[in-house]
Amino acid sequence: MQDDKIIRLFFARSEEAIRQLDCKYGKVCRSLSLNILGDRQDAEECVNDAYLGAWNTIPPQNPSPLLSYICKIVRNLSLRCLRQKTAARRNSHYDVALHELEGCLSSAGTLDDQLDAKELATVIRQFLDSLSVENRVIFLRRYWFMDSYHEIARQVGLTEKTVSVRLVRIRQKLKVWLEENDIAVSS
Amino acid sequence: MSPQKFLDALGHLDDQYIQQAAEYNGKRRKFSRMIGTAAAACLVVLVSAAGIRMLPQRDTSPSLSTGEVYDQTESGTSSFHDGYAQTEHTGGVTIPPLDVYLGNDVAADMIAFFLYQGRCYVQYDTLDEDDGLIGEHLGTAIGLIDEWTPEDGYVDLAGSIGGDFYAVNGYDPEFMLCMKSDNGNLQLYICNNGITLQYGSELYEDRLHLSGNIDAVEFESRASWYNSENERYRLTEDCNEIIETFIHQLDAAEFLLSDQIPLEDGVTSIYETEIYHLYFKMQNGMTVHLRLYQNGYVCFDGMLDVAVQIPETEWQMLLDVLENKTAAQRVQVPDPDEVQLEKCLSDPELGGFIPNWSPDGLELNYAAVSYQIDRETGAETGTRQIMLDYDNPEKLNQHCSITISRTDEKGEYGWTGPIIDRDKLNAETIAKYFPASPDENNQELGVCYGNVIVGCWGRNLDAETVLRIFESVPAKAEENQSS
Repeated sequence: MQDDKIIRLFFARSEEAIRQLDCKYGKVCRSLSLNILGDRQDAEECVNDAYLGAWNTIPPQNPSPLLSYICKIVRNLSLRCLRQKTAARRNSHYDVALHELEGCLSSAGTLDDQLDAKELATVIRQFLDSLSVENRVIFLRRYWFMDSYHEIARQVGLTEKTVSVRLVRIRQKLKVWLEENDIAVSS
Repeated sequence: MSPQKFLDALGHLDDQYIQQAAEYNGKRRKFSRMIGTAAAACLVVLVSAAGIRMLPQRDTSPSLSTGEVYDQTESGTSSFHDGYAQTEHTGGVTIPPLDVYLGNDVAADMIAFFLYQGRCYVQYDTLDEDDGLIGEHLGTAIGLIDEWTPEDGYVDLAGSIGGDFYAVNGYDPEFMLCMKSDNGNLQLYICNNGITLQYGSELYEDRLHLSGNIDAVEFESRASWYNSENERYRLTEDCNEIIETFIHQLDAAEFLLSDQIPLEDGVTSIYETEIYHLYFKMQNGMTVHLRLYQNGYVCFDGMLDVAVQIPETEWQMLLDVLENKTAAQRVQVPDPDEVQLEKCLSDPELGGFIPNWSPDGLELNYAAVSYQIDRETGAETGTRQIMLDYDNPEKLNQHCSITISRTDEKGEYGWTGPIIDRDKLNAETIAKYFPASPDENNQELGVCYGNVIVGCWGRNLDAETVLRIFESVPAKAEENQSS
C-alpha cells in the first residue's frame, strides 16, 4: 500500500493503518531495533511502542516520507530502552558500532560534548554530502540502522570484505573532517 | 566528542538521508535509466514454485549427483513460505528458492541475482582475471522486470543485474555461471538456493571440485578479516595431511541449517561465533572461501544458509595449526587499489597517456580501466577508458579525477566536457576553465592528444597545477599527437 493511503488510514483512525504499516515497514523496523538492542523480545516491544507513537502523533502529523518517520521513532525508543538496560547487556550491534567509532572519536567527555546535537548533526550532514551515495548509504546503514556487515553487503551488492574496507576508509575520512571542524577526536 | 554523542547526533539527520539509506539498492542503479516507467509497475516476482514449474530443462539436463533443484510440487511440504523445510525424500536440508521482490519499497532483501532455466543465481565472488574460466555464452540477463511481466510469474533471464553470462569452464552450469564486467573482472554467480543438500561432498566435491585441485590453503582470523588487517597465512606442506583429513570430514558430514545451530546463552547469531576464514586457492584461480565457527561448524561463504559440523578430533587438529601458526607463512595480500593502478599503467592502449605527476597532497583514491568486451566470448577486445580519482585527505574539498578515452568514444566512457588541442595548452587557456576563484561547481577540461583525450575534472585546482598535470602526460601521447 502506498504511504499516503496508510496515512489516510491513520487520519481515519482505522486500526488497519497499523497493520499496513507493519506489513510494509515492520521488517526494517524490527531489524533496526534488534540491531540496537540485541534482544528479539525487547525489539518487538519497541516496534510496537513505535507503532503506538505513530498512532498518537498521526494526526496531527502528516509525515512524508513515512519510512524515515517510523524508523526515527523506532531508533529513539530502542536507544532509550538500551540505556535503561545498558548495565545488563553489552552485546548488541550498537555496542559494536560504538566500539568502532572509538577509534576516531575521543571517548572521554570533552568540551565538545556541550556541542548541541543539532549543530553536530549539521557537521555530520556536510560530511555525508562529501561522500559518494554508496558510501553514504554504507555509513548510515552501519551507524544509523546498526546493520551488520553481512546485511549491508546484501543490500548494496558488495562483499562483506569490501564493506569493511569502505567503512575503515570512511571513518578515517570522518576523523579528518571532524578535526577540520575543530571537533575533538582521538589522537 | 564521545561515540555515544556522535550516534545520538545522527538521530537529528534530515529524513532524506534515512530514506535514501533505507531504500537504496546498489545493484539496481545501473538499470534505473533503462526501466523508466517500467519500474513504476513495481511488480513482484516470486522466484518460487511458479517459476520452477515452468522448467522443462530440469528433466533433460544433467543434474548434480545427489543434490537437486527444489520443486515444491514434488517435495510434498507446505512450510516453504514460512522458512526452511526439511525434505522427506532425501533426508537432507533444503534451501528454498529466494523470494525476490523487485519494486519492493524497502528492498531489504535485494541481492545481485538473475534467473536462468528455473534457477536463481546469486553473486558469490569476483576475480581480477578470468584465467580461461569463461566458457560458452549462455544468454543475456535483462536485469529488470517490466510492466508486461505477469504478477507472481517466473521470468527467465530477469533479475537485479543484467548482462551476458557464460558457463564457467570445469563447473556445472546448473551450479555456477559468470559475467564479465567492463572493468575486466569476472563475476561468479552460483545457484545457492532452491536446492537440497545432504552431505558435504554434494557441495564441496560435486559442485566445487575441491579435492585434488587445491593450489594453496590460506587463513586469517575473524578479527583480521573483520578489520581488514589482511593478516593472512599460507599453510605449508607439513599440513597437507591435516587438510586432507579436514576435507574428508567436510565431505562426509551432513548439512544442517545454519539457523538451527545451537547457540550459547547471550549469542544471537552464528556470526558471533566465527573464528577463522579459510581460503582454498584453486589451481584454476578460483577461491573456495570457508567460514569456521566455534564447535566445529563450517560454512561455505557462498552458501551461508547451511553448515556442516566437523568431528571434534579433526577439528582440533586443524585449529591447532591455525592457532599456533607453526606450519604457516605470512602472505602479502595485494592491495586492490594497487592491482587496479597496475592494470591501468600497463594497459597497452591508453596506459601511456596517464600523467606522471599529481599535485602534492593528492592521494590516489580509485583507479579503474574499462574494456570493450566481446559479447560472445567475454574476451577483452580493447580499452575504452582509464580513470584515476584523487582526493586530498587533508583538504577534503580538493579533488581531481583523470579520465582517458578515445575521441570517438561516446556515452558512459566518452569525455563530454570542453576540449582543447595539445598545442593550445598553456596556463592562460586553462585559467578560463579552472578560474582562480572557483564557484561551488567542479571544473573540467579535456586535452586532445591525436585520437585520445586526457580529461581533468576537479575542484579547488589552480590553472598552474592543471597545466602541470597535462604537461606530465608521457611521451607516448606526444607521439600520438604527431602521428
